[in-house]
Amino acid sequence: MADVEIKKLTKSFGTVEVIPEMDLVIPDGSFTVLVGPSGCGKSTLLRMIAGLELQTSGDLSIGGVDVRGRDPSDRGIAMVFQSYALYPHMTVRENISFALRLAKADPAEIEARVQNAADILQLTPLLDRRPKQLSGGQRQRVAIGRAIVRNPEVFLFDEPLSNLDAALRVQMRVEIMELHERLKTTMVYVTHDQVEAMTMADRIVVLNEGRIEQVGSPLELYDTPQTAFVAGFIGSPKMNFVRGDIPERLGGDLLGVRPEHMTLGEGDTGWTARIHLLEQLGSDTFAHVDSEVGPLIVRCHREVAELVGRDLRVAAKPGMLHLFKDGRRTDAPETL
Amino acid sequence: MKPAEKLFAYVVATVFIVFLVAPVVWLLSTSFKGQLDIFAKPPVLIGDFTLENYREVLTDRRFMGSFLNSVIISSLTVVFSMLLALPAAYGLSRLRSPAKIPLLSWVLLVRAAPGMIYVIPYFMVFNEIGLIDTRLGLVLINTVFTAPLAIWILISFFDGIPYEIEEAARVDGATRFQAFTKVAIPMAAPGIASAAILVFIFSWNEFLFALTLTRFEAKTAAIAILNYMGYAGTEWGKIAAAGILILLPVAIFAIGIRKYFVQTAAGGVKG
Repeated sequence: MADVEIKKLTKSFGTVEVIPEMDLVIPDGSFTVLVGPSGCGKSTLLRMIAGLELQTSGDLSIGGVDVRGRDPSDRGIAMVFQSYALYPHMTVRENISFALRLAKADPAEIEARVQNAADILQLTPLLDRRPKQLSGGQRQRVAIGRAIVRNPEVFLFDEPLSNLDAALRVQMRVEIMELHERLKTTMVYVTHDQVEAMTMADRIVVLNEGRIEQVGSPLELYDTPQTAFVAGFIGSPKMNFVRGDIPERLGGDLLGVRPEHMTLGEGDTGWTARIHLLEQLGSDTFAHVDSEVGPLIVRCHREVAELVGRDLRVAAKPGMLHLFKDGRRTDAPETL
Repeated sequence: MKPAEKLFAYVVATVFIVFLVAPVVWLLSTSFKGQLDIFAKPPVLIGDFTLENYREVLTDRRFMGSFLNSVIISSLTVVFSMLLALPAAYGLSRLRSPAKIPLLSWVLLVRAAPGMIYVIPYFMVFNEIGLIDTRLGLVLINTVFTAPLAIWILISFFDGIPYEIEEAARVDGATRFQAFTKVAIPMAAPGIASAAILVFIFSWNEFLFALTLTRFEAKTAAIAILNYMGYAGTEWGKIAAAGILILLPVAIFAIGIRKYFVQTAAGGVKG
């Protein structure tokens, strides 16, 4: 178990600066998710922790040890790749034991550790198969098994579920969370999927254009996004944004309200609106509304279907406003 | 495909096969004929069946010595070419430099140049260092021509190995060299087999250098056939039998190639 400490870290590829300067501490035993859109530098950051990319400048330590110049295998990390990256010419057993065999570990210990990993991941019946004989989920489990046997201080996951179908993704999400519960090892997990980040993390690091936008627990990020980017990135459906006169009157330039913090009905207060599309999810109904302040999404009860085509009013619930100025959070009033 | 198109395709394929196979069939037929049948007019495809040509060729120590030379020279050429081409192809495949394309072009240029321009310089150098009429000499010069061929075949196979698999190996504690030997080489096995077979066939069929750089000791089978074209006349039956014997390993390898071209790298990464 170890923390990961990053100080004044930068990374450039040629003249392209991918990570301008970053400070970050990933606490010991945490499940930290690095999340952000494509090209935000999250994978590059993970690969620098792994030692697969070298930092341009700055310090990186794992468990208090400066790992600059150390090989990936000498950093106490194990990594699970998006593409699984299994060795196709080896059986599951050989894949999982590869690191131990390279390290010339005692054969009895290798067998014991492979068996332990296989038990945890329910891979025992598959140990003598080759990767091409496995399903996507099984392959990813083998990749995780390969990481487990090394008893790493830090697990690194690079979008490990992106190649799986939706149902399997949910299942593997739970399995990885259970693994973290069981091992209590520091895990750093990269994803572009904010739902994965929200459900799995105890700490989320939101990255954008190589900079950290905000670090916090999933609910902190959801409830008090510190930047307009985080407000727009975390949450599904996205936060509604209103620009123009209304936020300016309040002292900002962008007003945000989450879909569940809006009401839609036939009252007298609020902005005039009309439903132009309904998304029925069973548990929720999302009304896509054309309002006088622009398009909005409102979470409603399914009975709202009766209101389609009528002139309605949409309003924000008191105390649920997010106000931003120059992209940063600023104090918002209770009501409009 | 319309019936007319199908017919056209069959006709073209048949003509092509006849052109390719007819000489081989004629060679095979001649090898089992006596001298009289060989020159019979009109020609006969199957004459009085005889194994005499094979018996004479197989008991001809000079020819069989050359046959053994061919086996040794071709096998060693495969070993030398692979020792050079494997690291070279891997290195070029993984090279992230603008020099990659020019380097590859140079590799190809060596292979594309006509062999004739190399004959005189090699002859002179080999003469100085005592490599004329040695197996090693032929192995070396064959390697010069086959290594680029092997590099080009192998590069595409190494290119097909996802970089992430080697990174996984490095995270697992493999050195660059171990990632090469324990991961990249086994994954490129079908390519290595194909390249080895093509190198063998090239070396086996090589004629120009074997003719100019050998005399007695290192003569290969392809050249030894010429012994049957003497002042007293050409021994067509023996030439045919020897030709078939020379063709045999190539035919076996050609059949072998097909199964090695099956891609075995599937399953390691999401395809």
